[in-house]
Amino acid sequence: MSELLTTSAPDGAPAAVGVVDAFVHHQWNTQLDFYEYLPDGWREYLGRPGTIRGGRGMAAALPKPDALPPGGMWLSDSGAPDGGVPGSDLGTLREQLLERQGISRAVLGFDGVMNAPTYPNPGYAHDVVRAANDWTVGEWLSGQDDRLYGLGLVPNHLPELAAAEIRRIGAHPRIVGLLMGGNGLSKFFGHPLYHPIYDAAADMDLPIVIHVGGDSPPNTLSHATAGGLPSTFAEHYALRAQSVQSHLLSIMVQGVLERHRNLRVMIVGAGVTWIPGLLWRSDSDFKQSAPREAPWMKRSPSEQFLEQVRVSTYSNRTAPAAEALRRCLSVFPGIENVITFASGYPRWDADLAEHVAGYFPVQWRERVMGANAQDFYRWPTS
Amino acid sequence: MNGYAGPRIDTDVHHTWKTDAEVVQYLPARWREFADGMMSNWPGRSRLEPSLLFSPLPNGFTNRIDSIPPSGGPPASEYGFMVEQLIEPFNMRRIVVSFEIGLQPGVTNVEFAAELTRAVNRWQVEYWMSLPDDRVHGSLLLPTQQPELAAAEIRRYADHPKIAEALLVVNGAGKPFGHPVYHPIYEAAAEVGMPVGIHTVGDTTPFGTLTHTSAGGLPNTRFERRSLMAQPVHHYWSSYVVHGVFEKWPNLHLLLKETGVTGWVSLLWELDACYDLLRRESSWVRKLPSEYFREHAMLSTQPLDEPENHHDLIEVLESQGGWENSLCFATDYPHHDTDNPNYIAKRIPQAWWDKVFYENAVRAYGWTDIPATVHEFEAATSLVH
Repeated sequence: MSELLTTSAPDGAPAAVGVVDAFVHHQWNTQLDFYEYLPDGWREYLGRPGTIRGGRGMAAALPKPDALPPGGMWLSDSGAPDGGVPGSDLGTLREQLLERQGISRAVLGFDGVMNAPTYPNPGYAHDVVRAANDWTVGEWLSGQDDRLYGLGLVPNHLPELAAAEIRRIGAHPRIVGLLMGGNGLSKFFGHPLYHPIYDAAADMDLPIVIHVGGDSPPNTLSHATAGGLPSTFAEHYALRAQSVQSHLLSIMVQGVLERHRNLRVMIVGAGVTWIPGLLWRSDSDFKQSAPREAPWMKRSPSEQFLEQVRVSTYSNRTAPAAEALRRCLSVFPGIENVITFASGYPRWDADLAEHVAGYFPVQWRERVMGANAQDFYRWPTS
Repeated sequence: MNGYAGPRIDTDVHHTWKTDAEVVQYLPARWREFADGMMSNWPGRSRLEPSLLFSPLPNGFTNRIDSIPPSGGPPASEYGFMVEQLIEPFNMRRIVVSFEIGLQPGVTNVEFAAELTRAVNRWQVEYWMSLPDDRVHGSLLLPTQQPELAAAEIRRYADHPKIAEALLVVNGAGKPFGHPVYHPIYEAAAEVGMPVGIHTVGDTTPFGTLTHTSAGGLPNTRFERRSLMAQPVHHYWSSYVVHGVFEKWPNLHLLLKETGVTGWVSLLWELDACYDLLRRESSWVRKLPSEYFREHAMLSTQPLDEPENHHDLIEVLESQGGWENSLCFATDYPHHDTDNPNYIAKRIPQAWWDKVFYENAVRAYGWTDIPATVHEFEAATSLVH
């Protein structure tokens, strides 16, 4: 895999970075695996199987998502050899992702627990998020494999406590960014209520990663789609870029990126084809509306976007023919500095690094497959 | 050639009444009394609209300042001034007027909403569709909180020569418009051969619908609301595919208004890529979503996206291809962001002009009383002279 990058360097020189995977979905095999990171009270509250006759006695720590892919949530061959759930076993992840695909650095970003900020009990949700962060550090980022890094999940339903959690978990050298998953306040992510999160992130020099799906859990009042709720997973999926476009636009309009010129934001899971539609529409509205409604906006949405926003390739499976997408995106000079490879492993719609590398123009390859992620995350300095 | 000199059709014009009394007179007596009583101590506010998400434009004025007629009445409330400002200068062979902005089906009282919608349609037929001017055609507003009544309204006006389309605005049942709850509307429209128009902003009446105008929460500014205004219609489109509307009614045509264009490129790619998923979850998906789109839908051009380099827009559309057959010109007159046809002509390829300014709309509306092509139109005109 690494030869894909070396051949892409325009002057034939070896590339400086290997393939960097900007987003991987890791999770525990059973919730018992993260119990030791939870406060005693919640551990007792959730309970253990077998304490009631017939194997009963444990409440599910995470709610069930509503719309599920008809073929299953994860790649069919991604389970652990002992029957563990996909994304839960270091050995399987190492073999299928890091070794087989030649990935030099991978960033762990959680699976279902990323929606914890939407759980109705705010204290429980906060403690689950903290425990999930500690579990990631303890079980994945403490010398297990030096190619692995992680995101800190943000308990965004309580922004002041979220800022405190960012300063706590963000101090760990292997936490290289922050994850906005579930929409805990059911507001656009640019809403001023959320600003303490961005203040803390900018202070810590940690970039923000927004993953699709944060408006889909059962307890959020925001909707995953405009115009009503869909009947099928396919529509949820085909329209998954809607809510992240809302969140990104509001972050630009409400001045987050003007206030923090060093803050970086990445959108993950929505593919990349939505970019021209959002930027042109909002650039027009910027000219008309910003002077009165958003006077703090000095730069248009497309200027802010090209400087401070990155978009993951995942899922590249829904992209059109390569030449069509190249034409579509090339209207934005510098777009090759925006598009950032992420596998999304082991979700059902994950991409293989070599497919993505072969899909984008050869001149973009080094940026897309490694350099953009390398520049985006805050890696350990030592 | 300096610009497009042929006939034009304007598929999105927002006309209105001079005073509420023009419409109220067509309400049954008890609802007339209801409308008058409700607003009797709140002068100056219209009785005939539901509450909207609050994000006003500056000065609370949504129209071009110069569209206020000399009499001082509401913009687009006077036929004569509309002829002078829109129809004559831009050589409009036909315009389709569709209310300012047709939110009456969304008033909270479900009975009143239906009566009011019927009164609006009566007003339209008596005032505007009775003009001796075959250039002015109209839309039939549908009482969407009660799809069976909407179907009855379509059948009532089925034979009216100037009703060009049935118009969906407010999402009255709180489901994307392809949902089976709305199917009586398509049954009736297909039966009488009436195209269905959809105009954006149908999910901004919070008391008539629990749906949201944007995914991810509600917008905080007009800026955000407007930049995201195509989202509901994108979802409507996927729902038409999933619920088999075009399989059940193969002759049904849709005109999607004020949704922009560029965002559809992404949506059609995403939906096509989900073909296998769609087939597993729906018994109705037999073609690629983009094929249904090419066969059954047209987009109005306004607001046409405005990248600094206008070739960029065409580059993005051409990366998918086929768009010259799916766009119908619209001004959105008299709104503040009205598109001038001469400006739009400069931003699209000359080879698209005949289709976008004229031919696509004739086909979408199924008009047979005017020539189908610009070429035939010009031939017929030269015979007359």
